[in-house]
Amino acid sequence: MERVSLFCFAASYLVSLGLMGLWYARVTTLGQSGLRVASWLMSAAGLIAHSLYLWNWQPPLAWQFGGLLVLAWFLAAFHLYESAHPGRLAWSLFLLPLVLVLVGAAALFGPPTPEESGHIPGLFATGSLQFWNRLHAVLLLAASVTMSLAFIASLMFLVRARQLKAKMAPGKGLNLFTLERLEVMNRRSVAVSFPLLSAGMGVGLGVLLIHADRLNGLSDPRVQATAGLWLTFVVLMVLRYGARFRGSSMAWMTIGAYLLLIVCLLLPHTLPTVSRENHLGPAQNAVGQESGSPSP
Amino acid sequence: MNLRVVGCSFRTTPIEFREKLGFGPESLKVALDRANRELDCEVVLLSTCNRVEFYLGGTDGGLPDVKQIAAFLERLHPIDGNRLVPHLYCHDGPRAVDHLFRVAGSLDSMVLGEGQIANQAKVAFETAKETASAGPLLHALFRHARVVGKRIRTETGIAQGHVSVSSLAVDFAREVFDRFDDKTIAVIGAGKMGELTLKHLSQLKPKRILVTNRSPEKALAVAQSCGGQAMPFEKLDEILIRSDIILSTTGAPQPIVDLARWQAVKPQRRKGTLVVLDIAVPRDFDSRLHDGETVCLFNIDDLQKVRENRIAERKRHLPAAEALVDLETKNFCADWSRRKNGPVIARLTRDFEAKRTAVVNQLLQKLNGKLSAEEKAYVEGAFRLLQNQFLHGPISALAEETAQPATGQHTLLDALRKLFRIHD
Repeated sequence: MERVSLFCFAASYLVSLGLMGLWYARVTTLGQSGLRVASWLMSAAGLIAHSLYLWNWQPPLAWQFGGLLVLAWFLAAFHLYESAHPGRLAWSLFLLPLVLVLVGAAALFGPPTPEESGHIPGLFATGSLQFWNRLHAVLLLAASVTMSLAFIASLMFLVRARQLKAKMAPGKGLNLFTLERLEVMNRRSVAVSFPLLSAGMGVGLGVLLIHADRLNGLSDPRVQATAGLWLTFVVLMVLRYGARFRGSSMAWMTIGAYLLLIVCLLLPHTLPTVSRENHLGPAQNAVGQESGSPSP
Repeated sequence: MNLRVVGCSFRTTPIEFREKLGFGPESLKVALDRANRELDCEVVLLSTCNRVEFYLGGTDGGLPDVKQIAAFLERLHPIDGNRLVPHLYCHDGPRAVDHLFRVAGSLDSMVLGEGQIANQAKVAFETAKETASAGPLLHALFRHARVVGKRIRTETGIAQGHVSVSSLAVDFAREVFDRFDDKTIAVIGAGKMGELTLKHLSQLKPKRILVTNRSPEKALAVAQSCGGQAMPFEKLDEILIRSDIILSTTGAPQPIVDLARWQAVKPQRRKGTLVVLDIAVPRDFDSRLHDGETVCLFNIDDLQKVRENRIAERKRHLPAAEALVDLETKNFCADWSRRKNGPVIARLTRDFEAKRTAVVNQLLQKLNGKLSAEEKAYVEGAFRLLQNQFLHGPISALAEETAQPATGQHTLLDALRKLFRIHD
């Protein structure tokens, strides 16, 4: 399992995307259904490698590397499920590039050094203080996943609106969902991610307040960016449900909010160091000591 | 193959003739009953608005020609048979098979790739079966035609997408909306094309249909025909606010919804995208309303453009469809000839075997006691080999003729029957 690297699953996703591109370009030498199945299998292979990698290295969620990789894993899993349905293949062309960008960004930042990871718990770490930290991370991760879907739905909406504006013949061009469905997907995803984000932030704030020694964590750039993201979401919700914003203006705002979310994910946590034993369970300590850092 | 098709279509015959020649469901049965009595052969009568064709088949003897069919039609319809003759075409044997396969695959239709003809051919055959006018040849032919039609539609792109303006209008609405059971459709005006499009839109089962017209009586009539609600024309602004899809077909000389009117109404709308299907000429809606998001406006030119593109796209698949027809025509002819040859070959083989067995038995009786079991088997094998070598020539020649059917009246099969005295 240790031989599974970032390159393994990134390459699988890339090949899958390439095959789906050929499918859309109607390159029929390999057979249309053959291309679709091959693309799906490559995605599945990528997801398996991705899962093995996460299981083996357990990168911390609070670090850019872990956060981006886990978000990419959820999106790849969602893609695999959706692309199994012939009518929902358009997801591939939008989701896979996002997955690749997230994996690429993770590789760019790299895993935390042993010193950096000393105060950050691993992905599956256990310990007395870990429950609230993990809940905080899981809620923010869930918000990121739903927000990613809102982002994809917004992109698709803009492409679809462009097709309709050009009065493209039905069935021509990218086979996307209807305008109505894309708008509903965007609205629902934003509506779900806002309470998740709020709850995640609330839990995080609670953890900081309980441990008075960590209160200066409020100056952490990631905490501040997340607060900014939450305020953006508030504006988004007010415009959607108060001022009844919809259509492409809503799509552009969702894209803007998502970019801010990515910025949050790219920023590191610079929380004050606390004793390693408080944050890492025995299993994580063992992994950290025996295996060292993952190799991208 | 004793098969012939005699008929006329939109390609050869003007509408003045075609409209007099058509058969409805009842008159078709009457015509087939009369054909049974008067034409003395298998008959399937295919009658659509674009063609009337008699498919004639038989085991032996001649089939009715163009003049006889014209005379038959003259007895059924108020037309002059002599004037009809120049418009009728006639194809025999494999060409008749090829013609039916092209018709069934809608390669010969006015709108290439249209789907109605397959059902019309099926109904024609079913009616012929009911009246017992279709025999073994036409049974086999129409069954095969059905398969060919299906293969052409599914294996080539000839039937891809809708090409009628009314269906295309619905396709555009489907690009915008996912569901229709919560949508309101409004109809402004009441033209012939509008009625057809409304019929297609009604099949989407919308929540509500609103109908308006300058004439309240016409609005009421259209509303009653589609289960909708008539609205006064003065309430057009309210209709614009309440609707999700608008079908406009008025004869107004100027746009009834211009940009200023729309902008006054737009802030009051609480709904999403408005799809406008403006099939009126001159147009009813200002084209500047279209932005692909709040208003998706498709006029008759947009629909016609897509229609022409689709037809052009279908034409690209014509060579593949024609190759399929050629292949299936050859397959059918070969299959039919094999079926026809089969009994003759079996009879020929049986006769030879009987004679061989008689001669061998006679010989073995004369040589009784002089041959060992091994020698007897050798003698029997030698006679069997001789029989096979005798039969190989005629059977091979028959198979060759099957692959390339003879054009004359007398075939090798007839020759074999005479030479070897094979009688049914």
